[in-house]
Amino acid sequence: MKASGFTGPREFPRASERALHDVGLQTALQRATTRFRDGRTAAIAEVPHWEELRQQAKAVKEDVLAHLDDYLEQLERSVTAAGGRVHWAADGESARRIILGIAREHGVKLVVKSKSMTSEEIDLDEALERAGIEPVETDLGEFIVQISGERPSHILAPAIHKTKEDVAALFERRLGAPYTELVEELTRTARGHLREKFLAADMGISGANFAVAETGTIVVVENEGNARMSTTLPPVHVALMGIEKVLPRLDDLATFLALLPRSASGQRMSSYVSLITGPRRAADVDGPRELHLVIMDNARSRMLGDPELRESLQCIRCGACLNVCPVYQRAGGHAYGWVYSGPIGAVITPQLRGVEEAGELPFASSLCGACLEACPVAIDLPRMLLALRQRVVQQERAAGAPRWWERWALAGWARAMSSARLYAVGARAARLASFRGRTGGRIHRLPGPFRGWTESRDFPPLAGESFREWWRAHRGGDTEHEA
Amino acid sequence: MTWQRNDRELVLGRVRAAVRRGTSPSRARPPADAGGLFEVAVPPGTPLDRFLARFEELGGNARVVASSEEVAPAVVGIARELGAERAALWETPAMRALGVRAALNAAGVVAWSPTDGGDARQAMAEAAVGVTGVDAVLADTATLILGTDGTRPRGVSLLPPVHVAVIPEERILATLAEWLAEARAAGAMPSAYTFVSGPSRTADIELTLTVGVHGPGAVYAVVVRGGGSAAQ
Repeated sequence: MKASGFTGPREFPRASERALHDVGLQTALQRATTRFRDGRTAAIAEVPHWEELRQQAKAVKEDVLAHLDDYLEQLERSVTAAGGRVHWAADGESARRIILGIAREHGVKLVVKSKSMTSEEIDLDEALERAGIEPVETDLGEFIVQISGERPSHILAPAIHKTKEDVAALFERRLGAPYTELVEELTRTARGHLREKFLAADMGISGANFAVAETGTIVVVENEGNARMSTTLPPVHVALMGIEKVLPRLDDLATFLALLPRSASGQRMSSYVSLITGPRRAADVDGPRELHLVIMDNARSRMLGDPELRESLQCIRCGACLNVCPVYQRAGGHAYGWVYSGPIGAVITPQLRGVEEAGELPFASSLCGACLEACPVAIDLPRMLLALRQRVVQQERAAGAPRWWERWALAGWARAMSSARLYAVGARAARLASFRGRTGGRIHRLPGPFRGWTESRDFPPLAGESFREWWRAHRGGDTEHEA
Repeated sequence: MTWQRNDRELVLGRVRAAVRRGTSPSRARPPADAGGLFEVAVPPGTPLDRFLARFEELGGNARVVASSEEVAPAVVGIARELGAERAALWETPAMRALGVRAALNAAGVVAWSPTDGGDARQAMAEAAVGVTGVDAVLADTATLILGTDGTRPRGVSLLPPVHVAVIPEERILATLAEWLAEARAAGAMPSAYTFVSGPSRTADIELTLTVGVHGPGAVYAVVVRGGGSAAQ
């Protein structure tokens, strides 16, 4: 398998361009995002207090973040009291070292994994392979992308970019299965192959959707049963969580489990939710003999200390913002170049990987606001995208980077969009300027620092009269509200 | 190992500093179920009716029996329909009182339960049907809540291709909030509670819904009408 499989966030402009010309991918993306969007809409229509639930969830997350040190220590005590072991990891390297240490201690050869974005964030599979341990992704979509040497393209449907013909050929080549395009048959093939792995595995690795501080309970939400298998059958279970996943009380699950499945897949409840509190008890018939919880920071405490961006730690990874985002719908997950995609990816990737590496992503948004509206925790993603844009521009200007003019203009545009008066002034100036360099109704060359923009595309000229001016002339002059 | 100790102090130190830097005050939060927060639009009828409607929407297969004497014959009926040769089941006092194990054996189905010992995992993996009780059921999401201990292995509802759950009507609750309050009041949590809502499913290949990917592909409910003392 390839070492990483990620193209990196820097590639976004080119990767998204390629995605736009990939007809198969466009069809798959449209189908997937439409399906998830419609499912979500129908599911939340049944919930009369959806807005109050979102606000409740937000209040809980704000409380968690404001007292995160206390809740983490409480979680540590509860997990320990239930017989689990808690490990702290300052970064990905430390988390990998801890998990490899546990594996080595038990002579682990085979690991079954259930879907965990946090583990992808730290390239855990690659680290296990380098240590001579076989990691097997057991979510069907993750399994497909793993044996094809790729990376997930959608948070909920990781192999959405592959057709059943692709999967049929892949299973024939990699698993020696007879070629079939019947999805049920392909699923049965994977079930049989992975069932053997579950029964033979020495260790199971999962993420954690939530971890309840008061009881030390790790909560894993899924549909296939692979997380149940991974956390029940192997003798050792390791759960990896980011510090932000803690919830204060068991009661809080009522709120978050009302929001998560409906927002993610449009289900009233996911097929399986596991509430895991410690390893198997002495009298239990099954379950792992050891439970290890790895609590990882990996730049999250920096996000926590950043008042402008702290809110991004409230994310519960449902994927709703991806499905409603016009940019994600076209570009797809791979274009973002790393684990997290869509609007939330554009906000957290620059914080986790640095603005130098991921500075393109905050600009990959039309700021239409659909993500904020879809978010079950009401995270103000557009606000943070704007804040990050300004940081990128400031940083590039300080470094004398050639693109800072364009970035500065976009940031200025963003500021202008939030003020009606600024917008009116700017629009008038732009219209006047756009009469230069114009032939046949298109602008082929923009002046000065904007030249780069028209090197590979034309710029449509602006209308002689703006809609706002037209409106005022035709419908009276009472529309000049300050936003 | 010293680096672990260091990481603990390092992470908590950073978090403490960050918490102080961040200015957003924490909002006092309303009580979790204030104002019927978890109310949802539901099909009409009793909790049992609502459960049955939602369960069938998920592809579940429900039978309602009038008394606890009818549970064992109902389970045997399901095993027969499936042509099951082996079954695995819970062994709670309530389950024993229902006589499910004896009825299965009498019908020629080899039934394993924890006191049989041996290789529990293999017995559960070879069973065609797994029979459990429930701790509770949530009507409006058709969620079966299963606990675990020495008499209630997790694998019974996971490894066999078919799961049969025996449900006393009085354990059908309306909301998760209600059950969480109960579980919290009960004190120490078992090593696992599992919520099961319908069969194991995936849509990972071309968004085509397929059931039975890792867990059971079919879930049956045998609901005992109120008053019967059935399995928990």
